[in-house]
Amino acid sequence: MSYKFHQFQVVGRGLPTETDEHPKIYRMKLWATNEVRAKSKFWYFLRKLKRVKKSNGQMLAINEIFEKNPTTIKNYGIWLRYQSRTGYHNMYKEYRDTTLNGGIEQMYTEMASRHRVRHHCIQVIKTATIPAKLCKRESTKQFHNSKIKFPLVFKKVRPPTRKLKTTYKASRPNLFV
Amino acid sequence: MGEVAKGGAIVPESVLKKQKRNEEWALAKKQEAQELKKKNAANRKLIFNRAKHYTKEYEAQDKELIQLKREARLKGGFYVNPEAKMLFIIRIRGINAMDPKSKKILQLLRLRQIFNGVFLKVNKATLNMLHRVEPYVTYGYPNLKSVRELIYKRGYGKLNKQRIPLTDNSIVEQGLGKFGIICVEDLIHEILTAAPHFKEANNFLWPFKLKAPLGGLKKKRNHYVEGGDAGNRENFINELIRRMN
Repeated sequence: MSYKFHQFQVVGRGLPTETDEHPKIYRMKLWATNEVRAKSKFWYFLRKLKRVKKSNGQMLAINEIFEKNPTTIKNYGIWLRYQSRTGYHNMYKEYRDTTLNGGIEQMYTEMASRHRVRHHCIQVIKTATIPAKLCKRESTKQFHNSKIKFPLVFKKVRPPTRKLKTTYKASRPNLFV
Repeated sequence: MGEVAKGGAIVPESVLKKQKRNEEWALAKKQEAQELKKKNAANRKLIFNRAKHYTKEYEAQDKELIQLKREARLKGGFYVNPEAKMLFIIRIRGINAMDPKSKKILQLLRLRQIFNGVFLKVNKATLNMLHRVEPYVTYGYPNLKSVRELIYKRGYGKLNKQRIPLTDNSIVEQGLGKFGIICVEDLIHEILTAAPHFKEANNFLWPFKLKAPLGGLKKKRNHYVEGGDAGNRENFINELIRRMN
C-alpha cells in the first residue's frame, strides 16, 4: 500500500561561525510527502524553536524512517495541534493500524472530513503506540477482543484504486456477501 | 592563338586554361578529402576514448559518494552532500502581468518563453537572481540522464547567431573547438560537472524549448513546498524533465 505521508528523520544545524565552532546539531522526525517538503518543514519548526534559519544553517542528513513491524496491528495515539477557523487547538486521536504512516494518513483524512482542517494547518506533536489497556477512545477499544466476530452485512465491490472508478456501470451492484 | 590538338581542330586557349584549372582544383580537393578523412578517423578515436573516460568518471563519482556516506555513518558522523554546482531552470509562467524587474531577470536568464529551460551555474549572484524570480520558474538538480536526453533530443547550438540543431559533432567543434570541446559528450561533461568553460558551453546551447508537461503541473501559482510547482524542487526536476522532453 503506498502512503502519501512518509516519515523522515531530518538532521541539521546552524552554520559554524567564529564564535561557535561546533554548533549544536538538531534532529527531528516529521511527516511529509517527499524529502524536499520534509526539509522545508524542518526549517519551519527549527526557526520556531531556535534562532536559526535555512540561510544560516545546513542540512546534515535526511533519511526515511520505515515501519519496523508492518505486519502487527498496533494502536497509535497521535497528539496534534491544528488551526481551526477561530484559533489553535490541541487534540489527541487514536487509530488502529499496522503502520505509523497509515495511522498518520488516517488522521489527516479524518481531520479533513470531520473538522475541515487541511493538512498544512496540522502539526503533529507526538505519536506513540498505545498498549490496549491505555486506549481512551471507544472506537479503537471496541476492537480489543481476541475472539472478535462481526458479520459483514453487505459487500460493495469497489475498484482497487480511485483511478479506476467510473461514473457509469453496465449493471446494478450486487451487495450479497 | 590556339594549339593543334587531337582532332586537328584548333582548341581555344581559354578552354585549355579551364581544363588545367579544373584538374588542379580536382587534385587539391582530393588531397583535402584524404586529409579530412584521416583527421576524422583520428578524431573518432579521440572522441570514443573521451566518452569512455567520462562514463568511468561518472560511475566513480556515484560510487565515491556512497562510500563517503557509509564511512561517515560508520564513524557516527555525517557526510554532508556537496551542494549542487549547477541547476536546470524552467519557466512556468507566461508573459503577461509581470513586474519589470522580474521580467528583466528572466530575460537575462534567457527564459523568454513559457516552458523554456536553461542550465545555470550556482553561485551567490545567480542564487539571488533565482530568488527574485522564484514564483515564475521551477528549478532543480538534473542528473546525467536528464542532461543527456535534453542535449541529444532538444539541443541546438548558437552559430553565427543562428539556431543550428546539434546533428553532428562538427557543429559542436565549430562552436566550442577552441575550448577543447569537440563532441556532444564533451559538451555534456562540461555542463554536468560545471567545468571551467561551463559559461561558454552553456551560452553555446540555445535555450531548450520544452513541451508542456504530460500529466500536467500541480498548481503553478504555489511554491513546490506548498503543493504547487514553483521554486526549488531539487531532484524532482528530473521527473519533470522526463515529462517535458
